[in-house]
Amino acid sequence: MDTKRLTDYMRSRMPEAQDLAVVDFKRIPGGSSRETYSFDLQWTQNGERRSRPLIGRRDPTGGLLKTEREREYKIVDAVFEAGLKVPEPLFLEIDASTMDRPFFIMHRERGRTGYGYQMAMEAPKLREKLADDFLTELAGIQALDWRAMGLDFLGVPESGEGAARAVAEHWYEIYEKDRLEEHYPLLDAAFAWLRANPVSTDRITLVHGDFRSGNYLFDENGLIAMLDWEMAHLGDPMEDLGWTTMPLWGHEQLAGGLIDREKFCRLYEKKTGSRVDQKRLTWYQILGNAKMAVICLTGICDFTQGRTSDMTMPMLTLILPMLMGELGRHLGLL
Amino acid sequence: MLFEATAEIVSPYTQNQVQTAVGMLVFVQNWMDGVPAYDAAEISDLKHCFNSMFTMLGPRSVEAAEVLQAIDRGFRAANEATPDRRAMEAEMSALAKATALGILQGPLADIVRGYLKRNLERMRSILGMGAFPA
Repeated sequence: MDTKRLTDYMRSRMPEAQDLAVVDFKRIPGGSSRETYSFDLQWTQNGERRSRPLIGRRDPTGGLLKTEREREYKIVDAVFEAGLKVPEPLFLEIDASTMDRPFFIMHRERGRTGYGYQMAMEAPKLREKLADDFLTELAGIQALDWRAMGLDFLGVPESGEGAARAVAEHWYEIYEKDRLEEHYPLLDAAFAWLRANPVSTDRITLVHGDFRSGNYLFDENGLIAMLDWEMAHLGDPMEDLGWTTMPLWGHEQLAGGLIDREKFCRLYEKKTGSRVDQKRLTWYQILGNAKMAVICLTGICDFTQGRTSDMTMPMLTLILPMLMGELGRHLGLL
Repeated sequence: MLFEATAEIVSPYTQNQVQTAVGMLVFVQNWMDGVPAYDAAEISDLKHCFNSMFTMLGPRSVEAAEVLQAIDRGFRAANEATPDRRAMEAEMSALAKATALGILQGPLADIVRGYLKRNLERMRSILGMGAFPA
C-alpha cells in the first residue's frame, strides 16, 4: 500500500470530503495473516476539519492463513452491527488493481495487546476485569442468531458430529499440503485420533476461530475490541473455549494470562448459561494444538518457498515443541 | 517514491522485522551447531527402535496387518546401507497413529512412546521450550 494510491482511493469512496489527506501512514507488525497499515485520514466536510484513525488490512503474498477478506469483512460487519466490541469496518475493496491485492479499511481503536505471559504481569484487578469482559464477548458471540444475521453463507455444519468432523478435516487437508513431505509423528497421531473420535454438539454457533490473548485491544478500563476474525466460521461453541484455554495462549495456570483455568471455565458457564463439556473441551484443545502446529508449518512452508519474507514465519518453529508436547500429553503418548 | 521507501524503512513493522531477524540469526547459529548431533541421534534412535520391534515379532504375532507392515518397512529402511531417515519417520508416524488409536498396545507401544518422548526432548534441546516469538 502507498499513500498516493490510498489517498486516491479514499477520495473515490468519500466524494463529499474536501482536502482529503492520508497522514502518518506506516506498516505495523501483528495480524500476521494480513499486511497491516496504520494511518490517519484528515478531510474537510461542511467547512469543518475532521480526522479519523484507520487501519488498512491487505491480503499478503504468503503467510499463515489463506482466507478470503470478503468473508472476514462480512463477519466483522455483521458482528459490529450486532453491537459486539469490534473495530467498525468501513470499506472493502476486492478489485486487486486498486492496491495490487484486495484490502479493507476499518476504524483504528486505541489500546494495546498482549500474549498470555504479558497479560499475567498486569494488575490482578485488571486481569479479573479483562477475564470478565473477554468471556462476556465470547458469550455474546455464541448468543448471536447467525441465521437471522445472514451468516449461513459461512457453511452450516451437519448436526451431531458434523462440526467436529468439518474442522478436523479442514486442518488435516492444510497439514497434508504444507508439511513439505516431512512427518511429525505426534501431529499425525493427533489428526488420526481427532478424525476417529469426533465429538458431537447439538448447538451450532458463530465461532471466532482465534479467540485468545494477543487478539484483543484493552486499556486500564477493560477490553476495547476483539480483532482478527479471519478464521471465523460456524461450529461447536466449545471450539473457542478450547482454543483460548490452551497453555500456549496463557501463562502457567492462568487462562489467557488472566485468571485460573478452572475459575475461567466457571465464569464461562455463568456468562453463557451452558455447562462446560469436558470431553468436547479436551477434543477442541487437542484440535487447537494441532491447528496451531499446522499454522506454523504453513508459515514455514511459505517462507521457504519464497511466498513471504516475513521474518516471524521461520521463528514459529520455536513453538512446535510446546504444541507437540501438549498433543503427546493429551493423547497419552509420552 | 523516496518518501514511501523511507516510511517503510522506519515503520514499526520494519523495526519489528529487524529485531526478529537478529533473534533468528542467534537461533540459526545455535540450531546449526546442534543439527549434526540431532540428526545422528534421531537416526540412531529410529534404527534401534525398528530393530527392537522387529525382533519382538514372531510368526504368531497378533498385531494388525498395518502395524506389521509399518514395522517391516521401518526395519528395512533402518538397515539400508545409509538408513533412510524419512522412510523411518513415516513408519514411526504410522505406529504413533496406531498407538493413539489403541490398535498398537503393550511392549511395542511402549517402544513407540519411548521414541516420541526422546524425539520431543531432542526437539526441545534444539528449538527451546516454546517461547512465542511474535
